[in-house]
Amino acid sequence: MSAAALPRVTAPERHDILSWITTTDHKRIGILYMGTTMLFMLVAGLLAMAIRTQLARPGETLIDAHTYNQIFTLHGTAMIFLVIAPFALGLANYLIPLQIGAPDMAFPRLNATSYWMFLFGGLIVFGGAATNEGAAAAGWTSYVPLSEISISSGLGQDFWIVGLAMVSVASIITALNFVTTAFIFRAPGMTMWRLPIFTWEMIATALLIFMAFPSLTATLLMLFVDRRLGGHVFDPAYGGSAILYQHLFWFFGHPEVYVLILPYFGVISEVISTFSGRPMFGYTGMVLAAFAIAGLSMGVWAHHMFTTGAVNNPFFSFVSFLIAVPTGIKFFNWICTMWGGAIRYTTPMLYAIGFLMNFLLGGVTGVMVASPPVDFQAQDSYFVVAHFHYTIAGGSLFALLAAVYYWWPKVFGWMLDERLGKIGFWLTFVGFNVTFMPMFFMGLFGMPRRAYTYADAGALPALNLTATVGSYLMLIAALLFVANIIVSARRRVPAGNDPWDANTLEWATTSPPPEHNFESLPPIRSARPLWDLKHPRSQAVVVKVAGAP
Amino acid sequence: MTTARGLFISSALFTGVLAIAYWIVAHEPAGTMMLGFMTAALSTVAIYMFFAERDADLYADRPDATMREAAGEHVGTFVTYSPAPFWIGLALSGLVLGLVVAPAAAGLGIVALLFLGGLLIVRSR
Repeated sequence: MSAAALPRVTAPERHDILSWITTTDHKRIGILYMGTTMLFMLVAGLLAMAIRTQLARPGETLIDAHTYNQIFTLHGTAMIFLVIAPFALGLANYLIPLQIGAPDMAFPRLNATSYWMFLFGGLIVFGGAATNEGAAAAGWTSYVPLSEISISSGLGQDFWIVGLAMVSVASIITALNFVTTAFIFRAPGMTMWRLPIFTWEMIATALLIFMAFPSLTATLLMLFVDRRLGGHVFDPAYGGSAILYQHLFWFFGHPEVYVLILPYFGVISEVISTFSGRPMFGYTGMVLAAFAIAGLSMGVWAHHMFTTGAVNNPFFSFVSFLIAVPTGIKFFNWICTMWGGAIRYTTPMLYAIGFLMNFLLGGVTGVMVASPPVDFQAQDSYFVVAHFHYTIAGGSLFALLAAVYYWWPKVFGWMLDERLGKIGFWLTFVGFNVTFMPMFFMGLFGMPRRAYTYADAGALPALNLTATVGSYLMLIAALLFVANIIVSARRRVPAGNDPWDANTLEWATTSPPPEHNFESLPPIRSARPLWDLKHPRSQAVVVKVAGAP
Repeated sequence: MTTARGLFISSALFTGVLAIAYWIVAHEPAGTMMLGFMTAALSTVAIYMFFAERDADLYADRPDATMREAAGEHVGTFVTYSPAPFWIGLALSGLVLGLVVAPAAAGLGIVALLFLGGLLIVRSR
């Protein structure tokens, strides 16, 4: 099979609704994925606003306690399973074939199947809210015995289980597609060591999904058997084990954190390289660091279980500390890429810089709680909530927004407004830090996570009110983002093929790309084929120097 | 494919070493089993790639390959529309919801999947 043979499309491109429902085009599936995750993010974001409004003042009774439990459960579940991770899958769906010079994914029908399974799975999770006792309320981790039928008897918990099982299987299918596509469908000359960093990061992510998600699917199945079929897998009274649930869940759960962040490391690498006007510093190091992070992340699951007394704390603490090394290499390389570069402070670049600052804080506090003595103090407190949000919201979400602003012109063919984008960035950045920075102190002052309310004592009321004000700033930023899309859609400033003067293959085709992706491909002789095309003389010099005696 | 093969081989070796180290240090069966299963899964792919794909020769792996030499005589085709994925998603939703709410819904999901299977068989003839 030859990846270079430009394929013949069997039917003309259609644009009706049915064509979107039946599409197997990776670009449309990518758009469907990303659009769906944006809608889920809207709902999950509004749920977060309800949480912050409830916590604005001590003793607030805006929401009753059971509803509050459902809200934070749905918020966490949606953000982790239905927004941050699947957005990256959608982005990769769109980009991987374009970045490697392929006409489509390796298995187009399977690709579309994974999207529909993801969508319906997500709707089932939310659909639990329509049942008699409401949605699942045991938190996004759904620990046993809290999620067992003796405590959570409502159908909402079952909806949560089967919905997430569908999402989990969909993710595994997608990962299979990514790896096969990247290995087999590369264009001639696109050797593995010429792949864009984003594609490399997605290969590492796909491997992690292979290794971690089967554990989630199996855990959900066992929980369902316990709840509906009379099983006792996690019931100590019948010889089962509640600790086993935590082992199985976190064997998925911690690698999942890296499924949430590795794709966005790829986004940041692409954005920083483009807007610094330089190739990625330490390309090989970046790739190896991604796989080091992925490998080590499989050996740290029980650092979430330090306080159970049932795990080997030194082992998991040591491996957790080790992950800081490859992550540090990535930070070093990003800074070195910017160092001395002709930096353009566009909206995507601002979000990338915001990512670096937020994620650094999230990462450093992660190293702190990887130490068991510190973790015993911080466990289940708002300190952990702040740490987690600094990595996933301050990290992944900022990178997600960088990706939206960066690749929007390619996907739709017109530019988003830069001025509104930059105002939106500053509102998001300030709002984010005003929201989550106080949570470190709340945690240190002893406020437990998932608390429905708190006492009117000490600094907690002021800190909570500050956090709530910050969350409303982020809401304004979100509205501004929607306004930006509407305003820009009316203006429709044409993007052209390569509005950012980028280096990777997706910018070599039209915006938006045709159904078969490329009319023609440039020769691929380095990791920056488009740069080579735009600077033929520089390439000739490189070849001459490399070949000179 | 050398790099891809090496990726799976090194991943399998890493998780194998991790599983052994974890057992020696922690003597904990659940985690050791999971790491062991992971090693077995990665080894399966690694062994497949080592033996079955040993002679794989992709134009993509040649640094100096050109579009012209890779194009060949045959121009490929691909299908851009299919009703099957949506139908499978819907049928699976009926199946899992049926498990939770009502067996009738699960039955509907199974019927839908069977119908789809039959349709695909008929269309493929």
